[in-house]
Amino acid sequence: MQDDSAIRPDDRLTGDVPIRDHAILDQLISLVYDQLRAIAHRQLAGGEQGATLSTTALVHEAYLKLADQSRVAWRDDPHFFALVSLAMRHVLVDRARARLAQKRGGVARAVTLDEGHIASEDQPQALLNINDALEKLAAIEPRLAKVVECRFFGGLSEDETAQALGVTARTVQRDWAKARMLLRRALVE
Amino acid sequence: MTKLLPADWDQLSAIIDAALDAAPAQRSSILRDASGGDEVRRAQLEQMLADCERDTAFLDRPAAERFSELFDENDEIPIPESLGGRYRIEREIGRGGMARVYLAQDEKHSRQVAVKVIRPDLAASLGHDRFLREIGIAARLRHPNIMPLFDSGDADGILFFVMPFEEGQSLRSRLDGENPLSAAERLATLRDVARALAYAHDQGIVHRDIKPDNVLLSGGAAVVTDFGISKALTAAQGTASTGTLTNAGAGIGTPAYMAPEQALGDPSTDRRADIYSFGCLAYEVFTGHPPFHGMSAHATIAAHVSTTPVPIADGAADVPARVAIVIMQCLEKMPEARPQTAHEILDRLESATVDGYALPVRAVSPRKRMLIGAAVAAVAVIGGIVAATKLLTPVRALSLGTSTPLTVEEGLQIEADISPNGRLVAYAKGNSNKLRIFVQKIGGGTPWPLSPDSDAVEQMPRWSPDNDQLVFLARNNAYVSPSLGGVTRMIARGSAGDGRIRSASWSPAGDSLAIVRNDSLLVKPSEGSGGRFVGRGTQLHSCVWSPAGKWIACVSGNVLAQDPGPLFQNQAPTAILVFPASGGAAIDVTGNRFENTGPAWSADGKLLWILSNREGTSGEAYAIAIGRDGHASGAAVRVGLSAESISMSNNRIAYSVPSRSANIWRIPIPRGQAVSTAAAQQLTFGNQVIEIISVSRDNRWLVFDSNLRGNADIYRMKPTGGAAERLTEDPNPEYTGELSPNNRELAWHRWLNGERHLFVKSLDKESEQQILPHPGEQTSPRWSPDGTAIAIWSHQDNGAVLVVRRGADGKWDKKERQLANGRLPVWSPDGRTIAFVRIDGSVHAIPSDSGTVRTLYTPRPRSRDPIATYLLWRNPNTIWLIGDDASGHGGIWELALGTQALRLLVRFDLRPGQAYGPAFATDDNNIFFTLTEKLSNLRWAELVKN
Repeated sequence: MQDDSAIRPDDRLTGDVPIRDHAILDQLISLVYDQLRAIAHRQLAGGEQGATLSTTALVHEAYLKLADQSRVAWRDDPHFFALVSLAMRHVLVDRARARLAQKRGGVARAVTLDEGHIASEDQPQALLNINDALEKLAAIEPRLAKVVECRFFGGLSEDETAQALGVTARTVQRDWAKARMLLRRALVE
Repeated sequence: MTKLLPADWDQLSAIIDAALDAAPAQRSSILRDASGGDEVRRAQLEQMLADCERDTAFLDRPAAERFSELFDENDEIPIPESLGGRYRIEREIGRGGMARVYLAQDEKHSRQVAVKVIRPDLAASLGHDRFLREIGIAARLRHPNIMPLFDSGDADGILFFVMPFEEGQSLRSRLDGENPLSAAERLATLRDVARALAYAHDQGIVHRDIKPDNVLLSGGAAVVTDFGISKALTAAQGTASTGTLTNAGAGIGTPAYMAPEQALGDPSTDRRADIYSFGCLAYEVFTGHPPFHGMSAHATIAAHVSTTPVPIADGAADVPARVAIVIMQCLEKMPEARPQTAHEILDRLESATVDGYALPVRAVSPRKRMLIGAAVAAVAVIGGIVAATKLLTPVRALSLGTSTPLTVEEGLQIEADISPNGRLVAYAKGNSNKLRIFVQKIGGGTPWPLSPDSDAVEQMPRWSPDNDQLVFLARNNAYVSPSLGGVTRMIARGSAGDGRIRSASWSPAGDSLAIVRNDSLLVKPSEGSGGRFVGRGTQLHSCVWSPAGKWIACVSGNVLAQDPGPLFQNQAPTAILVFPASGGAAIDVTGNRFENTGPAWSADGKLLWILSNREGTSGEAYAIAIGRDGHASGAAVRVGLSAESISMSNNRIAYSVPSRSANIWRIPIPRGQAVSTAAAQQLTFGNQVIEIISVSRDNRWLVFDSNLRGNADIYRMKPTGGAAERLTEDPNPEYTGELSPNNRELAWHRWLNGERHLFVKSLDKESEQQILPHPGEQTSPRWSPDGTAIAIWSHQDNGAVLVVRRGADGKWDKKERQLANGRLPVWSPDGRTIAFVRIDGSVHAIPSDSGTVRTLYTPRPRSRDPIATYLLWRNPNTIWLIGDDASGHGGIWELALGTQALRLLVRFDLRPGQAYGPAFATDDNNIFFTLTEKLSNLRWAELVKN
């Protein structure tokens, strides 16, 4: 079993997070991790109907939990959703890295990303490939990368993403289309 | 990884933004301008824009959902190097939702085997002994298309089972790979899987998790793996010594391939769930994806329960028509509507060939099928007044007191609703073209109309709980009126067609209304706007709240029978669905094998009364006990009442008692101007229903069905009148008779167990022959002019025209040939072409030995062109058709082929309450047609507690 406390924000991913948010991110990451794990457990055990991973519900639940726990300033901050998305990215990337390290002879290999059928053993690499491409994208088009972070990792809707990033929904639509196009080119073709 | 961004990305990005914001039509000019004549750059931009717009699954599902297995802690539990002291694990070769698969060496027999290890967390919730016992049952299966089970065991808490290790790939990876299945391989694979299912089902073993992952392609055959495993898992759940309990029957299965009843956790799930999953698999084999895909697991499951799949033929051009039909039948929501055994599927698949006739058949949509099911030949109304005083069959110490007439007038009085205090009754009164709501006191007094007289057809009155108001349907909308008269206000606006408000009824608390629109059940506040979605169902109508407001029961199907017009009060299979009023999937408490209508709740909400023809008699009332979970908790109990609608309140019941007669009329063929049916002569008399008429090829006989002796049989008489001779005597209803060209044989259909079966018999010998062996929905047999073939209208295949031929030995082919989708075929005089109608009223023709469909006639939009519903092919250049014109006026027209010129021959000028058709015929002197008189009165009775 992995020690939960080992999960810490990856500095490579937190470049643009204000210092005041780092403590929140810590909290979020552990919260998100626990929940994802609990949901995944229920889902994979197959015993519970409807225990699917609804990330939107998860984000909102995370929000409620943290809002309960403290009354800090970020409570009403729309950027909170962006932070949760970042936390989810951290958690997933961390899990993927840990998984890959467990494997004997974990050689990176080409994995298809085009459809939902990613073989289980390929999942960690597939996720890390996306993450790497996203980092590169962030270096040139940070807003596009943030949109992907919210939409893909955070599971946020277009409107929620727009609020979280303080842009219009139309901008999110355009950015999402462009980002998917660029990532698809980088990863698939 | 290739370079992420082009060098001049900033520029490109701005251009793409502009193009994305522009209307699609302007985009290429924006790109052209932006690339300044540089074709390479323009192509680059076009490609990027296309990629932006590409409908793709890429990154579409949230990461946490798609990569959920990263959180699977089972990965953290190591598998020992050896299991049971016999199987040495070499490596993992696959994994699924419930197990990991390892390649292992069987040290006892020195062979490679595949060992499947149940996921530790799942194993912890299982009773291991029970699991191993259950899996032992599946180990008995021996079939070339079923992967045998070598061994199973429990190694220090690790549950595993052992199978041969076969080189090959799963159907899953083949479908995902780059080497697509050929047309022949697809059919062969599906046949193999169907064979495996047929064999296992015959042994009483179900799979419950049929999907491409569980089909192995090896050595040129498809082999189904994991038979019985799901069942064993389910059975062993809840028997764990740890006491971990999970829902029995729920959760096992794979969302994309899960039958609706499985998704709903119905414990009575049987082999027909496998047949549904097989349908999903087959759908994917042809289209590349299962019927519901690209959505979350939750949404997928919901779709299985309530969304009609896109016809397979829309997504795959090369699926043989018969195969498409059987696949779509497998995907029916109701187990009863699917092929009942895999043998049936196999029959269809085995008769399909890759190069066989591919027809422009659109696969079955339940919605359309209902519509066709509602059409002409289905009606089997039981005439006469039902025994009124002997209504005393007890249902749980409940019976009916003396029944008293509420109305005795001519025409229709229908859709009675008793007020909650039991003192008043509201109902719709009129005829099949016009209805108006009236209210009257129970026990006497003059009825009063609810609203001023108008052209509106008012229907389905429902009382508010305070007895003060009524909601009713009119002009596509729902209205509310004070029950003593006053201002009527609209409460829900609909639109024509599907958008029409199909049901409106008050919640028991009176604060909201259940509304049906576009097949959706909604609850909206009775004051103000807003509302919420409750659930969806095909053709919902006639909804009623349970007394405590927890459930809403609706009829699903045959919605056009509610609309005044030609299909009014027709009969077709329907289901009663019970929706949780708080929202959610519907629970089907009846299935849709029979016509089930008129739900009404008992005062305690424990019984749902329905009207059903499940035992052959139309409109028999049954009480179904509804459990706390909304499911039927017992068999339907016959009440001993026959009605067309029922309503119960305050220990009183009101119901409508229908009757109907239809007789044959004749009118001379007009030489010049059209004639009115006002000048027609009645040819048959009596309290009977005659539906389908035909004239023999030599004009000697008029053939018709009649229920004059209580049950529809086929008769013939001279076209000039006289005594009718009965040709069939079966106790089951029989319709649509036609004599062979030499008058020696009769073809007709018999209504057996809710299905139409086609028969032929020789009139001089009494031997009858069912000409299509499999049960189905065939009707309207039409002899070819030379008597060697019969054209058939099949209701089952979404309205299909079939031909079955007779060989030189006089035997009918076992297999019919499907020509086209359509209905009511007629032969051309030379027998080389078959014409038929479609539901939009158009007329088409196809060579009788198959070929291309050509359109002979299409009603032009916004014209007075008639909607054809029945044809006669008079001579090579002339077809007669019957139908309504755009204003709803019925007639018989002559259609000149080639010019499409129409000439009105007969105009139906009907009295209120009269309807024409559906069939007509001619003997070259007269035109014969039927006129129906519909009647219905209301009665009421006390509900007596014994």
